[in-house]
Amino acid sequence: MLKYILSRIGAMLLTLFLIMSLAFMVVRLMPLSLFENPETDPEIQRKLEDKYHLNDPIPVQYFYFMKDIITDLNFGISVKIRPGLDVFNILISRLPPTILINFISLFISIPLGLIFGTIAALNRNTWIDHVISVLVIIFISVPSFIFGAVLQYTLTFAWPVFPTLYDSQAVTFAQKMHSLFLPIVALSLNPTATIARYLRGELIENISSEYLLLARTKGLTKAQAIVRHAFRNSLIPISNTLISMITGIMGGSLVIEKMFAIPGEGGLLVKSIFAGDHFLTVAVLIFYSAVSLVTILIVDLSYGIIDPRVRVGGGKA
Amino acid sequence: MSKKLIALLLAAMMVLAMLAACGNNNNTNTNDPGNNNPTTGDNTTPADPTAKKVYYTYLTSDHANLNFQDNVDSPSETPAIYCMCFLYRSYPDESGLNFHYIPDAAAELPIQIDEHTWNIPLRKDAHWNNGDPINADTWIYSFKTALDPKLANRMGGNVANNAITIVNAESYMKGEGATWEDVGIKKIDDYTIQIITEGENSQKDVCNHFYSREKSPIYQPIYEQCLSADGTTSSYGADLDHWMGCGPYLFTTWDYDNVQIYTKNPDYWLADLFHWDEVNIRIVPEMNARVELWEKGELDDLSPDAKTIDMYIDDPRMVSYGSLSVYHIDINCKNPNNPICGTDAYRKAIYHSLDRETLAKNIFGHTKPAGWYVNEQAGLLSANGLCYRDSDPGNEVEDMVNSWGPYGYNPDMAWDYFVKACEEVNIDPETADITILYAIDESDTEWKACAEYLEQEWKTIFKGHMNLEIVAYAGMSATDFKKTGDDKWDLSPNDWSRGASRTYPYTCFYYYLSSYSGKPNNYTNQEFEDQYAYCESIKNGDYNTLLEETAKLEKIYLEHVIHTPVVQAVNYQLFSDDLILPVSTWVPGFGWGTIYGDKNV
Amino acid sequence: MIYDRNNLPEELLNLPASDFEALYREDIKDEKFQTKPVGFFKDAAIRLTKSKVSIIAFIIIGIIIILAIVVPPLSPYGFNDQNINAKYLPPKMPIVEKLGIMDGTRVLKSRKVSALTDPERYPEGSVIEYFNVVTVKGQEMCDVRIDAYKMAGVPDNEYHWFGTDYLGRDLLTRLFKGTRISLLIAFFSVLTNVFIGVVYGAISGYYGGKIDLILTHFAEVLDGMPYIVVTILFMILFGSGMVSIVLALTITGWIGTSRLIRAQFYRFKGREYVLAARTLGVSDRTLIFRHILPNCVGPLITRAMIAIPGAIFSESFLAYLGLGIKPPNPSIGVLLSDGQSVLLQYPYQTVFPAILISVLMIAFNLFSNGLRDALDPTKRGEE
Repeated sequence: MLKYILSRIGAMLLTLFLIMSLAFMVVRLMPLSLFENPETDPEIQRKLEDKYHLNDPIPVQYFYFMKDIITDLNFGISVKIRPGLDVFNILISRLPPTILINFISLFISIPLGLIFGTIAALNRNTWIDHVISVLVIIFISVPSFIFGAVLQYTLTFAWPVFPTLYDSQAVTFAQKMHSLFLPIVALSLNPTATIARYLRGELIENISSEYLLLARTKGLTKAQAIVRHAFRNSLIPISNTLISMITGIMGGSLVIEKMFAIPGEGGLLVKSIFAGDHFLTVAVLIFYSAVSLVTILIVDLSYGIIDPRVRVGGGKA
Repeated sequence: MSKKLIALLLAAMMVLAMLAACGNNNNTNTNDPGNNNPTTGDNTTPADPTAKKVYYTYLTSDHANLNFQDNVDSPSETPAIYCMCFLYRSYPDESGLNFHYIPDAAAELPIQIDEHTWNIPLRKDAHWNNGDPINADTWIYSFKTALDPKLANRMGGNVANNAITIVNAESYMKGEGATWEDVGIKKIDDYTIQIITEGENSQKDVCNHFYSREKSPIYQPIYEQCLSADGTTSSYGADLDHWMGCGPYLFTTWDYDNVQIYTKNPDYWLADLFHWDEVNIRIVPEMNARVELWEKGELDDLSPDAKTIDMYIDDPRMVSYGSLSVYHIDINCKNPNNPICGTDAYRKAIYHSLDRETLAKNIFGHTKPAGWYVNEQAGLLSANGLCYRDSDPGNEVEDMVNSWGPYGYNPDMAWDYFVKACEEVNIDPETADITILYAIDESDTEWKACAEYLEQEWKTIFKGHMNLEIVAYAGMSATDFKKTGDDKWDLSPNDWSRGASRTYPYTCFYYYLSSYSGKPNNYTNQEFEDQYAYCESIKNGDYNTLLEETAKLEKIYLEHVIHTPVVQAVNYQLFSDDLILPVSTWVPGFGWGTIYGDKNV
Repeated sequence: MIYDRNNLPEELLNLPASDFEALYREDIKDEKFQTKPVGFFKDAAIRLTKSKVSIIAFIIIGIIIILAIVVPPLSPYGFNDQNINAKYLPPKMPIVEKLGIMDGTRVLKSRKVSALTDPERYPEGSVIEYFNVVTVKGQEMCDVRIDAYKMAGVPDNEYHWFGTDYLGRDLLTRLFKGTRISLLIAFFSVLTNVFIGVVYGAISGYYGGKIDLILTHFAEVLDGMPYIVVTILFMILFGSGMVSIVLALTITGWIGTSRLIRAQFYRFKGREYVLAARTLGVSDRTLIFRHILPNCVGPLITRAMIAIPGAIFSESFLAYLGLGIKPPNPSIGVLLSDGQSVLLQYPYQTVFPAILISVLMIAFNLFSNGLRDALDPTKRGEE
């Protein structure tokens, strides 16, 4: 098991390293100097560029870039958005709302999706199943920003139940949730539906399988059999969809954050790209990549927990 | 199996705990007022929370940092006026129709010693929020830093030369020989500084010069701590921990891109002049959200844009006032792919092809068409208060423009000039197929609509021989975009305005002189430059002569169409009924004075 | 036991048919092989047509595609025809207008009562009614229902079913022109993705070994980058426009396809028929394209169908962030983001594109679900 975990972590780090290199290259391809400013003296501009090794050949720049990040998490200094501030600190300061909306969306959509998926599967071909299936297909198909716009128009403007903007001054968790409710709803509809759909399909397949029949014949009740066997086996393919779900949520939050004026990483990314704050862009990019890689890792490892075959197989490899 | 379930549960709980931790983290972003100012406690707010006067307003974008000497972005104006002290600050008259300057950190108005020399006595009780005194050394240090040639602060030029020109300051800043000892800023004693100017100035000019954000003091201990080893950059003001305030309000919360909260500083020496207990500024980039907040009564003011102005056009709360800005389109005369771009006739063709009345009414939302470039505010603050546009020379130019067609719009002339331009470069206009690249900022919806409108209009005006292609750029400013190459653009919208034109109308042409480094186009004309220099030389002479010379300048500008004007912007503003403003009308050079405002509670 | 027919006794050979009675009453249909053999695609088509949902989805997609092709040229208005005085007209549809909805009227809030008689602002007949009269600051204010078409001076017989946009362009025409562009973007990006994915996956899967290892790892790295982030970066690199969007959507879009193809190649390349062909000296290229690739067509079609709504989504997503196609061309995303900026005043500007994109996405998803089930070889022959 340990060997399996280590090999997965190794693979993840390698991928992260390559992503960092790629991000570096892409951002260096962008037109214009980082410190371009008509009002700055060219001499000073050159000095600034020297300071960040921008006048060195690309491989040397690359070396410094990697060295700074690996040795002391130094992603450089912001030059346009928050001049003088450490990029890493900016990243950290914008983390709370992003984590809140992304992770809460994820954490509420998993159980909700499981519940609806199970209900649909157990009531297969009844009206309950049909209603859930229709909702599922709607929530999967319609983009999150359409839901965002609808929710914003109806629940903050026409019937103002929720605040228009994110309130970072909210002290209690309940107050925070109140101002984040709509973005979270807009973001979690799609993953909830995705999970429900997968689980329904898997459960239906498993319920009609022979091993479940065996479980029933050995005396388990239907509920016991489903929870202990069918449900558990259905979770394996579902954990695979988690990866795409998380990238989906993160992508969706770019627009949703903009829509609800939430000062999170998504807004920071878009803003930094538009402002040409390259160090910041690279840092946020690496952050996003790291999050999705860690998710993949967690999913891989949880395979080991849920599915003994992987664990044993991993031992052999 | 149950063990694994427990493991899963534990993992989930850990993540939740992490979430909670992050949530708490958010609260620590808020700077406790106590940190900044040990002399004030939480007892600054009145006991009854309902009686608290809070001014709710918004900004469309946040300021990047609090280093006012270097930050060129206008959002940084807000924390400066709320949280900094100045030598002088403007204050509304009793009448509510005008304003005057009052000493702020200075003890009294500047004292004239001789033609060029002014003494500024300083207030002895001025202090930073942490209690440290603000004295002559503070000011000398601040001005010296602002002008430091190594730091090359981007707002330094405004310290050297704005309402007054300080002797040798620019030379020192640019490293052209003058040393700090030569610069006309001297310490007389601990509570007096002396300013030596180049020209002769009024007391008002001196006060005016020192009331802007780059002339606010900086706190030496923190500044030096933030200075880089080679002394070329400073991270002063990057966040609240690396900055010190000294103004009427304490900067209690700065949650970047979300909210700024200022609370009243009771220890400020002029605290009686300020009535807000708290100023709550939301950062709201989306117009929709602003309208929503306003409709819900969560904002005390709102400036509608072109798309929302129709909603409020009859609203009795809405006020409109003049603007310094004439929106215009810069023309590239060096595009290698555009054969006719170098000709005067081409620029004239563009000039005459704009239906400014339609653009002003339907695209820019209740603005005024303008076939000329000197703005309607120009000259308002001059000695006799006569605006150039209301003067005879100004009207004469307007008449000339209108004689070509309404606000210069004349499709036939546009076509004729196009033909002429083609002939000048030996192209047959009937077979010509010229593509004009109109570069717009993707997020600028009004100019985008304007571009789309013109694209369609030109098909008729130039009969398909000159077509507009819209190039949308994202991710950089127009200035940056233009630098990517002369072949990338032909036309590019602009709305730069120059405050100095309120006093000297001709100065609105300043950005189009070859001497201005950030010049937004690449056309130069010697006649134009000479006339500008002549206006400059007589600026303190007879005002009517100056207006006449300005008219000549504007005619040269129109003859060569250095760029093409489109509309005169109009500012619209809504104020909530509860708000009590210190002025009854918009005062040029002062505004609405919301910082001195009050509220019915 | 087998009898030789020729050796049977005469009476047995000549038994009258009437002596026999069918065990089952029904006619025996399969005396001879009457039906034609059902091929894979035929079978899939049969199963697809059995699914009502897929048919409806298919019809909806068909209708939208037809409308996207037909509406722009047939509409009385060009997608870029402007009437700047008639901007932001509300929807007005013949027949429906009698019902009191989509009748080209709009309520303007807080207007001066005194101005209602001003023919400059409210031309003859444009004011329908006014209500909620209140006095504010000595001004009589009211809400007024106006005929926006009369107010803009548009002739009575002119109808904009979905209203007009900020330049007075007909939204219906623009919406379907935009649909056409969005669909084209989706189609081309999926096509490029499939092409790259097939070539990449085929090489990777067919040759295996080191080549496979390197290619797979490269794909994995690309896949590790959040696709939306990469897309944004490349959009900025390429500049806005249709080609750039297609390119940006291709950067990471092909990986899924290549994985699928690679897996299929691994499955089939060891089969006997492939080995036999190889023994006969068939070239690698022929093996890949003639012998193995056809096995992947089913899953490939499914995958491409699933990718289309994804590409439509990505396009509108980019438009929302300000990275859409070049004006004046519309796309669903551009219309949505334009609408979003006036959502409070003119909600219908968002509603129509939002409904269209939702319906389109739902239809594509349903259809690709049906297609997936139909093309699934394990379900072959099932009903």
